[in-house]
Amino acid sequence: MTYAMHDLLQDMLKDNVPLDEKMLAYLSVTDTTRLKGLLDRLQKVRDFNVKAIAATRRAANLAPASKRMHVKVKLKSVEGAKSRLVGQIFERIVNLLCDGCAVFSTITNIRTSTAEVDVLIELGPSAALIPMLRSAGTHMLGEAKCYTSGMKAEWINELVGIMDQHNCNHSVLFVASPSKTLNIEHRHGLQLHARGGKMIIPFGLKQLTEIANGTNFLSVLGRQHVSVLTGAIALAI
Amino acid sequence: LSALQGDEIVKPASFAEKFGLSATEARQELVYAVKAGMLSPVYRLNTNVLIVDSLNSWTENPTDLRRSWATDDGGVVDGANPKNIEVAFRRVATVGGRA
Repeated sequence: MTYAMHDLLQDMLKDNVPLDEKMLAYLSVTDTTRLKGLLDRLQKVRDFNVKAIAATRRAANLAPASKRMHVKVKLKSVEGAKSRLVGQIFERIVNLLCDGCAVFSTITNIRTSTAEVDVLIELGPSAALIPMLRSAGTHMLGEAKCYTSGMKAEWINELVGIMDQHNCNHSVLFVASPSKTLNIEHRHGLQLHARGGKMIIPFGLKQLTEIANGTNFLSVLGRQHVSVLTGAIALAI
Repeated sequence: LSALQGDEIVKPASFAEKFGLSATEARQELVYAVKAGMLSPVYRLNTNVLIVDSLNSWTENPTDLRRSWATDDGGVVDGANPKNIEVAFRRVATVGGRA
């Protein structure tokens, strides 16, 4: 009988031997070209000037030679369309990361009896090979926030409630807010919830850019996990 | 293990046979040697069938194998499944002055 990589990973787990970069790269592969493309697209859509778009559409509809009528001409409806587009692109980014990871499988937009979960991350047997996932149990939640505002304490507290309702003790908070170092209120909140058994890993554009530049998803996730546990001042999104 | 040549490949089964160890003991010793930085795992597809367009030689980077491979008999080996990757070990560190 041959010795398979699966056996090696199990033996390493048993003997507490850390996985090297090559093994992590095998367990999580990200299409960085596609990720860069999606991040560029996200930025382009965010830079849309909704007022100018709405005004241009109204003017086009009024033009006598207009063959095609724009339906969304009001500022609010153009803003809504932009938000939806940003949400769709960010969802694709999250899916791209999760789909490339061999240690878990994902289901998006799950409606449960109490809420709608953006991403349900089911952890396979090999998830135990990743130190940060050893205490995660059978599943994690992924929550995506695509707002241009900064991180909010309410997002963290709400997510803890959703985790409680879904028998979950680990989650990833994917945030598309502008990159910044988290303030003490957020760091403290995350650290206290982690001490209480609810681990929320913030994951923002800073981390996505790192992955697009070649760093492994699981390495970045692990580092964020440790930063939350230690309340590291450098914890950023 | 320290007597191994730099390019010599050690498989757990042959290692166990050579030193009269059980399969579990052999695997444990080899993993300890990896932990000590003495050995490095090498990988190839876990199949005896010929692979189309590949010699299926050992590689230090398992990510090279993480795709579907067509076999000579018309089948497919999924390199993304860790069960389909065979592992052996290669000497990496210098011990007792030997390269």
